[in-house]
Amino acid sequence: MFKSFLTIIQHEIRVTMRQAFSWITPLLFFVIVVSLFPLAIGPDETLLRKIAPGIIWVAALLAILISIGNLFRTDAEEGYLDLLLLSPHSLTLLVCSKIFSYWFTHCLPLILVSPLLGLLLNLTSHEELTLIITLLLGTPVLCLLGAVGAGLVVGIRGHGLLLPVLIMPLYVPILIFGTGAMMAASLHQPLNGYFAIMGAFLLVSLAFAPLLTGVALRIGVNQ
Amino acid sequence: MNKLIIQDVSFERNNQLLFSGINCSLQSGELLQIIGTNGSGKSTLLRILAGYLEPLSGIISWQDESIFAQDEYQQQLHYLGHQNGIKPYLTVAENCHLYCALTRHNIEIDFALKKMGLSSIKHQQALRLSAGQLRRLALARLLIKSAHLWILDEPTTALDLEGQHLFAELLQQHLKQGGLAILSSHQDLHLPFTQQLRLGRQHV
Amino acid sequence: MFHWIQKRFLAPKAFYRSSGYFLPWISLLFILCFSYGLISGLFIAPADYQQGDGFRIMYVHVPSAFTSMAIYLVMASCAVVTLVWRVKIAAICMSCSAPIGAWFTFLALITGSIWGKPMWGTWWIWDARLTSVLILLFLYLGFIALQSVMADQQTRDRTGAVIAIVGVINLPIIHYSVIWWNTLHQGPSISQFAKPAIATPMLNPLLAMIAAFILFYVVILFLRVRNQILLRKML
Repeated sequence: MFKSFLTIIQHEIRVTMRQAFSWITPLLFFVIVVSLFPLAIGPDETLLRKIAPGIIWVAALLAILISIGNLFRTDAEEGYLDLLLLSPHSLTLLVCSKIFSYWFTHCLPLILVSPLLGLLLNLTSHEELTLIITLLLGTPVLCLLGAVGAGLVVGIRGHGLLLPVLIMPLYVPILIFGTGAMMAASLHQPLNGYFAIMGAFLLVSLAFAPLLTGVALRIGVNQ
Repeated sequence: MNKLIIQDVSFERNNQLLFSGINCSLQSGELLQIIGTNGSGKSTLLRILAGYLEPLSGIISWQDESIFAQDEYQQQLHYLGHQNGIKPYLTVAENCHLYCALTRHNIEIDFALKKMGLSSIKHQQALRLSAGQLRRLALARLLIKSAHLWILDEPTTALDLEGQHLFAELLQQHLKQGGLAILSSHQDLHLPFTQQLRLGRQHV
Repeated sequence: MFHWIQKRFLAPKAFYRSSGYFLPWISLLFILCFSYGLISGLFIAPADYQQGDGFRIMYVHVPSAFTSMAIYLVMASCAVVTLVWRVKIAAICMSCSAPIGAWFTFLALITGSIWGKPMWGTWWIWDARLTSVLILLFLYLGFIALQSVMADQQTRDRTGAVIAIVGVINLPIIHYSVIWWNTLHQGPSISQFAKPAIATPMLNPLLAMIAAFILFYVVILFLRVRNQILLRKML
C-alpha cells in the first residue's frame, strides 16, 4: 500500500513539473513581493532587518494562498476527483499525498530561496537558519489549512479571492509564532519553545485538516 | 448473485423536484438503460447510484444493504461520467499506472491498452489525444480493474464506429461473467438491455 | 427535555409555530432587560474611579463582544448538527446567525474604538482583545462570502458548516496566539485594555445588558429563520 502512495505522489509531482508555470509563478511572486518592500520603505538596513521576518512570512503566505485554491480544481474538472472518491484508499490519506506533492513542488523552492532573500534584508546567519526552520515547520501548516479551503471552493467557478479571505484568519497563529521565533532569534533568545509550539500546530493540522478536506470534497464534488 | 434494488428514489435540486418514484431491480448479467432528454436528471441519477449523492427519499440497496451504509460499495463499481478522469499532462501509460496505484491493482496494462487499440500511443501525453482516443483510454480502465457493477454515463460519446463495437464487446463480456451494468444515453444504443428507465416529464 | 425541543423546533412547521408563540414574550423580556441595563448603566451606576464617565461605553462594548462570540458558538453547534444529523433548520439557523454575529462584532469594534479614544488618545490599538475581535469579524465575513457564492442550497449549507467548524476549532488558538503576541510586543507604556474593577452596582446593569443583547439576537434570529422558512416554501 505504501508503494501505491509513492506512485501517486510521484505522478502528482510529475504533473506539476510538466507544467513548470504552475510552480515557478508562486516562487517568482514570493521573490518580487519581498523585493517590493525595500523599494517601498527605503534601504535603511536596521529597519529592514527588523521587519524582515514579517515580510518574508507574509510573502510566503500570500504565495501559497494564490496558488492553493486550485489544488483540487483541475482534478474536479478532469473527473479525476470522482476516481479518488471511489478508491479503496482512505480519502484522508489521498488528500495527504496531494498536499505533500503540493508542498514539495511549491513550498520547498520557497524555503530554498528564502536564505537569499534574507541576504537582501540583511539577516544574520543565525536568523537565516531560524528562518529556514520556521518555514519548514510553518509552510506545511499553511498548506494543510489552505487545502481545507481548496476543498471547500472546489465546486465554485471563479472563486478568485474567496479562498484567501476564508483562510487568512486561520493563518494568524502560525504567522505569529513563526515571526515570533525569528524575532527571538534576532535577540538571541532561546527558540525551543517556539519550535515546539509550531510543531504542535503541525501535528494538530495533520490530524484535522486532511479529514475536513475530505469531507469538503465529498460535498463539493457534485457541482 | 449480485443484486441492486432501487426503491422509490427521488431527488430535488434547488427546491424543485428533479425526478421521483424511480423503482428498479437489477441482477447479475442484466443491463439497465436510462433514457431521457437533456436535463432530465440522468447524470444525477447515475451519480446517486454510484454513491456520490444522497437521494431525497428512497432506498438503494446492494446485496440487501443500503449503499450508503457500506464502505466497500464504491470499491466494487466503475463509474464513468462525462469527463474522462484522465490527467492531460501524463502519458497514456502513466495514467494507467496511476489508476493501478489508485485502485491497488498491479497488473500489466499492456493487455488493456491493446484491447482498446491504444498500444501505439502508449507513450504519448494525453493532451495530444483526440476525444475518441481519450474516451477509449477511460474505457480501458474497465479492463484494468474488474468490478461487479458498471455505471456509465453516455459511454460512447466521441467514439467512432470501431470504438462503439469494442465497447459493445466489452459490455457483453462483462454481462456474461455475471456483472451488472447501468448505462445512460439520450438515444437508443441498440444494446441488449434487460430493462429501460425513462426519465423526463412522466417521472416528475 | 430534548424531546420537548425536538417536537417544537426541529421540523420547519413546528419551528414556525413555536417561534411565533415565543416571540412576543422574548421581545418583552428583551425590552425589560435592555431598559434596566441602559438606564442603570448610563445614569445610576457610579462613575469609575479612574476613567470617569467614559467607562460607561463598556455597557455596550462588553455585551457586543460577548454576544458576537456566543453567536459564533451557536453557529458552530448548528454546523455540527447540520453535518452529522442533516437537520435543515440547523442549517437555516446557522446561515441566519452569521450576519447578526458580524454586526455585533462590528459594533464591538466600533465601541472599542470609541472607548479607546479618551483612554489612550488613539482610535485604534492593537491590543489582544480588539485584535481577536477583528479576526472574528474576518471569520464571519469569510463565512458570509462563501455562502453568497454558492447556488445549490444543500451544498451551500454543508460547506458553510465545514468552514464554521474549522473556524470554531481555530478560535481559541487564534485568541491565545493573539494574547501571546500582544504580551510579546508590549511596549514600556501601559496599553492594556484596562477593565475597571467591577463592583456590584456596576455589575448588575452589565449582566442585564448582556442578557438583553442575547435576547435581541434570539428575536432577530427567529424573525429571519421564519422568513427563510417562508422563502423556501417549507411551511
